[in-house]
Amino acid sequence: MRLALALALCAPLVARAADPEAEKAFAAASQAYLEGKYDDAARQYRALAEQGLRSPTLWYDLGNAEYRAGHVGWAVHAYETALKLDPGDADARANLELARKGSVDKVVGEGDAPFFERVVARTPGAPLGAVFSLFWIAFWGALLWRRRANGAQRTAAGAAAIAAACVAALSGVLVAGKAHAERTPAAIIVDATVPVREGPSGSLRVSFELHEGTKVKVLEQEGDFVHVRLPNGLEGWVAKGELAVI
Amino acid sequence: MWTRTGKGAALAIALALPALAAAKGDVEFFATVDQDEVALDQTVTLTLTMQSESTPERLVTPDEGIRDFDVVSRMHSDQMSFAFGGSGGPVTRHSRVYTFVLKPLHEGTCRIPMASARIGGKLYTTSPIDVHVTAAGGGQPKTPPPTAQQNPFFPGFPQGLDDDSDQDPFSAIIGQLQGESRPPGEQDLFVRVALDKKTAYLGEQIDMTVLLMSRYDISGVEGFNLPKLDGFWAEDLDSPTQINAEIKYLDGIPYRVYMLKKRAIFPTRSGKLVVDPVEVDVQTGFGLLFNGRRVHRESQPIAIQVKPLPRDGVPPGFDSVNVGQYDLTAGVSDQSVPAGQPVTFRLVASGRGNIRSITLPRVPALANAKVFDPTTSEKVAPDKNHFGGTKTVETVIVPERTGELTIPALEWPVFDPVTKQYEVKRTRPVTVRVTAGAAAASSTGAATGGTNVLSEGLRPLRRGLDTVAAPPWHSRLFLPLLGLPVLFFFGLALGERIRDVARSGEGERRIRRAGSRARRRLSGARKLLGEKKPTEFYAEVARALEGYAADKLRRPVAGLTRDALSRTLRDAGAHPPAVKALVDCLDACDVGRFAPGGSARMHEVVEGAQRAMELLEEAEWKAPSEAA
Repeated sequence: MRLALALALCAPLVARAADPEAEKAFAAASQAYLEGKYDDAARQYRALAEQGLRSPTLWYDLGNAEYRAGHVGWAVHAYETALKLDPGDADARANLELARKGSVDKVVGEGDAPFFERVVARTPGAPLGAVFSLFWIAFWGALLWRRRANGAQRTAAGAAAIAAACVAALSGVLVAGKAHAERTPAAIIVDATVPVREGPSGSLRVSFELHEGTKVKVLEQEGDFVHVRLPNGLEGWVAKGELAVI
Repeated sequence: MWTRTGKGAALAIALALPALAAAKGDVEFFATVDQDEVALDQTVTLTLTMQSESTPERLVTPDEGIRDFDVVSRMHSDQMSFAFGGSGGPVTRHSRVYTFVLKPLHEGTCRIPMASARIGGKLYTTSPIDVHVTAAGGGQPKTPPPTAQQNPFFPGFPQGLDDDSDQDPFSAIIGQLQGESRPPGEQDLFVRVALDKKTAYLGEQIDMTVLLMSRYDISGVEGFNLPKLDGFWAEDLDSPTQINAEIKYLDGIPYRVYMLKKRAIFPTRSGKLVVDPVEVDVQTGFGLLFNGRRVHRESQPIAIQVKPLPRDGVPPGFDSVNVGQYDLTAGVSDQSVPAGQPVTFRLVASGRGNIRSITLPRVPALANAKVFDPTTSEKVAPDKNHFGGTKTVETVIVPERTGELTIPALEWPVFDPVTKQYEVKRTRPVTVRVTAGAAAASSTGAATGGTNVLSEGLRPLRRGLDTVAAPPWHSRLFLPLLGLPVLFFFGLALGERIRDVARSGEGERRIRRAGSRARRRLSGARKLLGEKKPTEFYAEVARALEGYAADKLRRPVAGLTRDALSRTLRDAGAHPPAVKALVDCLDACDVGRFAPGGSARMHEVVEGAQRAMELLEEAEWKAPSEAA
């Protein structure tokens, strides 16, 4: 029974191949890219992405098409999304750095993200969840074993329970970090110039401006406006349509 | 001396008087008014004439003691003439004319005091003149003076004003105001807005001039309020900080004309639009010696008919804000740039019209180049009659490939309100030579998926669509599934606990019922005793004792030796005498079952068994774990 439970929790780990229709559409978009029709390619890649396909390759190629088409903001958004799906994607990371060079904004006072946040961002979600689930089940199984065991077996069961608890706790903290990060998602400014206002209204004073490609954290939404924070702590409100959530 | 003798009479007498004065020693000194009845909001002109051969030693003019009038203006002219008299030799005559414009201060009879002059040692005076003043608005309209005649000696005011209307910017405006009816109270001071046209196209410039017209001196203009100009976009053409008067004739009457402001207004919607009145507060009078007053004046509203732009022949892409007379030019900052370096494309529109609102065409997306959003600047250069200037749009372009980059010709449709036709302004294509740079791209072929186009640039396209699973915590079953092992563990523990509790209770019951069960067995044994069945009797007694011991020990005792049973009973808390009694009884049962003649001792055995159980009941029985 425990084995069935473990398998059930690990089932999402298995990467599925895309269905044939999606493959066909992807190939058509890539062909448009190779012919130099970058706007067309970007549109087709985005249509696939909007179907809910979780593909780092799809978002990476979309980023390339947007970059070629001159849409720096959308290119940065696509590369960031690819990295969110696969934090170890070196190509997406390299192209993201290249696209960021075209960004106008250089945020003053921006420091590195805390170590924990960087570890959370770099850890892939599905394998992390599977590890946590397995060791969580292993911990309770070891406790049960210890309850019924005697002598040396009881000691061994106790040690196994402690080891499983440690791994489960560590992975659980990372899972909690990822879940928390999903509650305050990041977003990318996609319009060329965006006014950042003091409050959620177009009639309020503009505090400063942001430009396409800048990454912000989304704190809350009110009506058509979104409350954002820059890495250096500056906050303000921008119109919803002027940024894209990663 | 002159007194009032009726309207117009003073003028006739004044004309006749010079003759009489000449006869009296050549001194003429008289005062006249242009009308003897005026309204409170009108003025009366007093003329004091003095003619003599010598200059006066002393002169007191009527304005010095005047109380019933405000002196709005005063002027005088001097004239000298020569004549040859009968006695021979030339005779010199001096003529001096003082003109006062007076405004009555109250209704009823207002008196102009007399004037006096000492000439040649003799005192000459005029008589006071009474003017009847009626309520405001009730006076007779002033009759315009005779057509101005050229005075050979004084070509200036009040006669023979120089009216160079073909060079004068006010001439056309003054022409508009000729014959216009004005409220009786405002005939001497009024403000007017003049437009160069009353019909215009949407977006076409209309010149709006604000004029202040006054018959008397003005010491200041305060409270100048322009209307909101709803439906118009307005730009200033002339806003004088110091206003100067020009004398103009309107309906034959001289006026001081002050231009307060000139604007270019552009209608922003078609239909009938109204220019609302301008409001002005004017301070009349002059200097510190005379009382000035503040009067408020408003212009009349003016309706303008704004025509929509012609519907026929509209060029594609035409924007209705592009109305005016413009030229369009284009150029680049550099004719040759390395790939990856920026070049600025500059588009300039110049001319007349609402330069601030025009929109210029944008550079389209270019293959192999990145086109950034343009920046716009404008330089306004109005002249006195037209609003215009230049508008410049600069676009930064970064070519990505070597070779030639051509920025295509741009088309800009505009409407010229002067010719009333649409025109399409065109630039020429602009070519920039792109040389190899640090991030130069190959000039042949399109970007392929398998090669890095830029050695330090974009990593190439990837093939093969893959997908990754969503993190398990995205599933609704994640938390419930995580809770299952927890529930299972605690459920199992709870079950065992419940089972232990149940078992310990059963053991207690077994101990409590041990005695009754044994006694029941002994009763059965006594019955067998009565039936004289010794073998069954002894077996029953043994079962009763063994069953009793098993219940108390909570374990079977059937396989135990007597020693083991004794030890176990003692360990469980039984007293040694009780244990000995039980063991002796069991031994007796064995003897009785297996040895002949056992029936004689049956009574002893059953009593012995009863006593053994009674003794064992007194023991403090320990729980099996304690006994172990």
